[in-house]
Amino acid sequence: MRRFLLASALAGLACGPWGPQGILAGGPLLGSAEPTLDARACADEVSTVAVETRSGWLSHSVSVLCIESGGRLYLPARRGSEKRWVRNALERRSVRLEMDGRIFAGEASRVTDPAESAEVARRFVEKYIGLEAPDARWLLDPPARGDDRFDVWLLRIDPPESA
Amino acid sequence: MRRRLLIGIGALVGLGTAAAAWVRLGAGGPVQPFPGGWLRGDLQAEAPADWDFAAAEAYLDVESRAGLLPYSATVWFQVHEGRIHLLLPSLFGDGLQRRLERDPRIRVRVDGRIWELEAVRVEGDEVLGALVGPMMRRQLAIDLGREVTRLPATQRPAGVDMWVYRLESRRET
Repeated sequence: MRRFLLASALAGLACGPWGPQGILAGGPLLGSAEPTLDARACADEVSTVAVETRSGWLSHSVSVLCIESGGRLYLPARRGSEKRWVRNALERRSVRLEMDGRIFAGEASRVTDPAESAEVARRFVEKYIGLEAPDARWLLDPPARGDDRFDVWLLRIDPPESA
Repeated sequence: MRRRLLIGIGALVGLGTAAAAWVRLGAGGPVQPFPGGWLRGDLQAEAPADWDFAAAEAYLDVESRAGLLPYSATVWFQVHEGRIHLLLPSLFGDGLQRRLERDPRIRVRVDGRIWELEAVRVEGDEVLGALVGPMMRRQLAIDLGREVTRLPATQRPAGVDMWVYRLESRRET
């Protein structure tokens, strides 16, 4: 009985409010941020990163995909206009990230430049789909009425000092 | 106090386990984003010659019985030249792909009706753009352009792939 209850408690800890647990959102990321944002921490082997945003005094963290392109870090968000973390990130700009076991601080901004997003699209397709598509581009304008594609937002995370 | 807390945590874990068991076995199919068990629906005697009608669906529910338990998932797919093609990016795991490699028999459900088919792996790049392009555009708002090729395994991150299967009637294979 004691072992069962202990195992239950440990299992409950895994669902606690300290960072996202898989698809489940979490609270604050534990740890201090490194002094410099290293976009290369989002290597090809790193499938997801945790991003923590704040709204008021509440911290909210989720697991998201990440792309490093040209030394910069990008986070795509499907249905971006509906996502709480995207809203928080663009309102307050400051975010914290956990990549490859390391914590970083950064400032979020939304990417709309077609040339910039095209290169990110090519890197995304290589990293996550294993395909080469030299003409790939990200469609970041809102879908027109009748277009069934999802509305994807692309966020760039810059070092805090570049704001 | 500690005893009550531990009992409460144990009860929550028990409820969670029961819910997971229901999702995995008793829900009649996948409960997004989790895989499920048997697909519930009306088993059809014969597969249609043309699957264009299935293109109206956004996703496809499929079931494999390759393992000890039936395994069902909601997957990306594309109807190309009248045939269903499953598009399985490794991004979502390889559970279904591993099962299809073991046993290519598969069940698909469209609009409450179930058909028993067989999955045939599609390897070449010739139709990759036609198959993957529309799905990438819809799901991720990425326009792949005209030229799409599969990266050699040595140039892809470890484990990354896009598995493509064409579904055929079982009597044809």
